[in-house]
Amino acid sequence: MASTSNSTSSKIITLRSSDGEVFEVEESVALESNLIRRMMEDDCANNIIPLPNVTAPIFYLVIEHCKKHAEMKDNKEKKKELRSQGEELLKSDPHTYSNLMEAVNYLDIKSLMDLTAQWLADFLKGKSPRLIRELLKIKNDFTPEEEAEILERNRWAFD
Amino acid sequence: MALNLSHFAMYSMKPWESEMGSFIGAGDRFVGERKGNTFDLEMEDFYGFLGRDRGNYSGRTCELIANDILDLLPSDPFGMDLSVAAFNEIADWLEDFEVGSQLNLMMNRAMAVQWENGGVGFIGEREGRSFGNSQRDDDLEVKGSCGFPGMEPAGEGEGSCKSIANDILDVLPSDPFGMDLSLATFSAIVDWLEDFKMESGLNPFWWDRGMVLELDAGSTGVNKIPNSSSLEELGFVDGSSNGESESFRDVEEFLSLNGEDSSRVMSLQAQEQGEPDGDRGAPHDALLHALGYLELKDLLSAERVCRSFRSAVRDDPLLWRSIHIDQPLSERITDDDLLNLTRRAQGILQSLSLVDCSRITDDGLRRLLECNPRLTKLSVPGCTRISIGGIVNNLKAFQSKGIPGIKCLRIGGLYGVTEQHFEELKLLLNADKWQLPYARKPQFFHSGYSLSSRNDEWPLDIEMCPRCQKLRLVYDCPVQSCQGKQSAAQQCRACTFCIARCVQCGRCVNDSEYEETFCLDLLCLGCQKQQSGCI
Repeated sequence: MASTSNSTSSKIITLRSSDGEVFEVEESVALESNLIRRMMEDDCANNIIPLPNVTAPIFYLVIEHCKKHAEMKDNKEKKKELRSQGEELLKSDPHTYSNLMEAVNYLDIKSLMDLTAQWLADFLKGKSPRLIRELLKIKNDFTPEEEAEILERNRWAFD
Repeated sequence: MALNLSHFAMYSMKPWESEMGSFIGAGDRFVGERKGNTFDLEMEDFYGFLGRDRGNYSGRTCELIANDILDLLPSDPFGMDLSVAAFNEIADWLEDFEVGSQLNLMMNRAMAVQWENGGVGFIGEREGRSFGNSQRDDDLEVKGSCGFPGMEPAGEGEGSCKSIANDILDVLPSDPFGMDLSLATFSAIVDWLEDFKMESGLNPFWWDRGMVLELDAGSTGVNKIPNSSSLEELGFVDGSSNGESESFRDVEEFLSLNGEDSSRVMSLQAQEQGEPDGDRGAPHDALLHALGYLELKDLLSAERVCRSFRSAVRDDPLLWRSIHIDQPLSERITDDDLLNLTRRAQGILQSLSLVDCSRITDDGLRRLLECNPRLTKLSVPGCTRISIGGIVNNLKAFQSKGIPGIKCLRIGGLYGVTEQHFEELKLLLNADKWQLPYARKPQFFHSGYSLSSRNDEWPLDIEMCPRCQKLRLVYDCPVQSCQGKQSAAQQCRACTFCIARCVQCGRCVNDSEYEETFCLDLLCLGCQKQQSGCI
């Protein structure tokens, strides 16, 4: 991902995704990731930083959202907009969402972690366990007895 | 009053009656068996005409379509000239019938199945074509699917639904409205419907649109889960309460009844979506990171999703370190439930907020405090069965053995707080360390305690009102001109009894224009304008 040239002072960090694609990212964006920050603090600032757990398409998403997040800092409207985007992603492609979440967790980007987790929280709000399974393609691996046990335990909340 | 045929559009909502889904056969079969016999067999189809009751699965789409075709429909095509009374009777009967009979179950099943097999064949094909595509074969398909006698194709899965159909046959009265229609009239109805379909170019259009709307709601191109999303939007799943909604359960039952067909449908579905059969599996570990962001009720739902969610929810005391109970759970939770819930924190519960929990008692609070020695923040606004005396006593017992002890207490508008209580509370909460009142953050009034509750570290929310000297929640004024006044007597700072405040922005409304809402709240002029959208 090419950097914008207007910020003259910003340094460019080069990162490589697990599938070999090379990204050039502004330092200010890259430093959102605590993982990259730590790596740079150690010694590998001048080399290409490998990201063995993140594929290129997911990394694109991460960068994109990092930038959006940086833009919307003081903009309530944008904040709302960004928050509502999660539903689309979760509905259409929960698998990509999971990968994004994993990457964000691995890269240790606090702001995106909050955002993506909030997406899921908003998405699951008020949904039944079965619907959650359907939507996230999760298999029900409970025995009937287990299911009954949990229901009994939380009956007060669901009656 | 003429029969309101505008709801004929409801037929578009019955894709499960297509010849593709064999379950669908339920509807077809039902009608088919009684082909041409009496009028009563039409009753199920009358759901369409009177469709509001069935609106739970189709309301929205139906409305959309209904508007378009309203104008095109004749007002009383069969010259039935039904009176209002007869019409109401039909509606009532249908309602009763729906509640009491097995048809209801069948409908649920049919609905659920439709959801389950949604993407299959019929719809799949349809999606491939464009909106409003009026190819002949489409028409035929549609015709077949509408479930009218004499039109339905012999569905492959017809037999499988026999049992249901037979049950229902017994339950149905033969001519509930005493309409005593002759065979001729009956055929006329059928013919008319057929004509209507064939003639109006509209038909394939709205039919298609109904389909697409229903099945494609909210999907975003990738369209992997159109069915579940539409399901939700149409209100199949109430989502909130019973978690396991009936129709869902019925899917499984129904599928197991029709083992053979279901596997066929499943594989079709898999093909349709281009995904392997067993695409469901354990949840991605990454999802577990988000559990901490869920509200209590959703967290309890997540616990019921699968084993890995369950253990994540149960075994992680950090998720339970701070518990906030609000609507809708606040009215349900009892002392025992609360105690069980706090046990999940395994002793590290730090913050407990109970908003309007009307079933929690002083004794419940006592037991809770005994089990959770590390609690530092307690908030009980609107918990009507908790008394100030109880709080003081509980706190006395707790502060002597609690490890850090309660630091922040929020009691909201609790009644009967005397000066003695206030002094005792101040003592118990280490009042000597309190800062001067000026150092605290200003508190603004807002409807709903959860928003107005002080989120600072101030130990106690109530204080002496500067005007009436009563111990209450005291609010500041957000209006700049009011904040400037220095003398305590003039300051715009008091309980809501002394200074009336706007329920939205919290400003004083004594001297300005305001309106009283239905709930007797006050709304200032500025907020009124904002609410009505003319800022």
